[in-house]
Amino acid sequence: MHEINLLSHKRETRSKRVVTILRVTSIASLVIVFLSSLILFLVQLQSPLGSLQKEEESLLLRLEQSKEKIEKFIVMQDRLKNISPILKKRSLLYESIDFITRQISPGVSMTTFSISKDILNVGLYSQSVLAANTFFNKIQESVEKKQVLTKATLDNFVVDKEKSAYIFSIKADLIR
Amino acid sequence: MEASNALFKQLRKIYAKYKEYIVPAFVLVACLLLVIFVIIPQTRNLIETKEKEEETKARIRRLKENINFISSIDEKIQDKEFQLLLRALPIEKDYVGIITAIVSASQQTGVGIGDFSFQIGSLSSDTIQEATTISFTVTLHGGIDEAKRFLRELENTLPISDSETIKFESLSTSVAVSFHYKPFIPQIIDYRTKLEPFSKQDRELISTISAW
Repeated sequence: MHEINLLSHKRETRSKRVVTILRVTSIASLVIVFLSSLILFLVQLQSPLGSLQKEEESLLLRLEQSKEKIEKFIVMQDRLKNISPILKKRSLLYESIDFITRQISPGVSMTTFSISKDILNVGLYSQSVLAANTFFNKIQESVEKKQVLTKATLDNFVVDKEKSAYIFSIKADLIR
Repeated sequence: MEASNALFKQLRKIYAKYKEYIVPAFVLVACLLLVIFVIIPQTRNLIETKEKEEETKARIRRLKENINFISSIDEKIQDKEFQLLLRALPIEKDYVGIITAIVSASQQTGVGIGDFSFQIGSLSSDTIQEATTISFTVTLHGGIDEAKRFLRELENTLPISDSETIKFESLSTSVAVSFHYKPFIPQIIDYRTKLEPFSKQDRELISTISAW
């Protein structure tokens, strides 16, 4: 009995081509997947991560042996970090005192004095109104030039007739 | 039973008709699944491993630098500077250091001191983290010039101090001075953090303080 192929020749050829393409693609995919896995496995195997981690551990152990030195170093850094701004902000009141005492002209003497970071109060005594005036002018000049003082007020001015003297006090704001 | 036999026969027919397509298609699908569930995750792992390698190498470099730096520190000099800085800014209220500084300033300048008082506050360790002060008020025998001399000397004495107020009346002067201290909060040391050597300004500061 002869087999009669009722499929047209064209359709048979196309069908065979599709099967061939499928076969080739599947084999190629298998090969690619296999090779990729193998390469990835080999690369992962050669990774030096393990030995690097061991090296890191051993270096950490070495550093721990110098723990005391490192702790001292850290404390020193902390102290230096805090000392520097403290020194920069120090008020150095005696510099303000120096300035004020330089303004006190001959014939004027100080009776009371108080100074803080912001305010100055000076009690003065003079037997010469000219000397007192010279002192006021110097204070006014320093306020205008913003030297040490920003504001000055004559708080009190009393004439002591018995002693022919003038008692006065100045209150001033200091430049910070 | 007959229904399942019929189904089985149908499946065999389909398989016989399409067997040339089924196997390659199955292989393709399997490869696709392998790529999605094996190759891609493995590649991601490999990239992460490489990143970890670089990070570990960077940490190793820092550790080696720290080891070299710490080895270069002379222990004796470090001890000396350590004690100096602790005297300059104590970690707790240093009443002995303060009284010694006041007495020393008085002796150096020849300015007599009378009473002094101080604000005690808490005698136990503080939980504060910022630098803070103890305030001392000292009566000096003398006037403004003596106060200036005394404070100028005290300014260059440890622990670090700051004059707050000066009051002169009659023949005596009282000065209020704040002495600084700052508790040190112990920390867990991270050896992997790079230790930076002291800067030029730090060295100058140590040199300035050591001259006091």
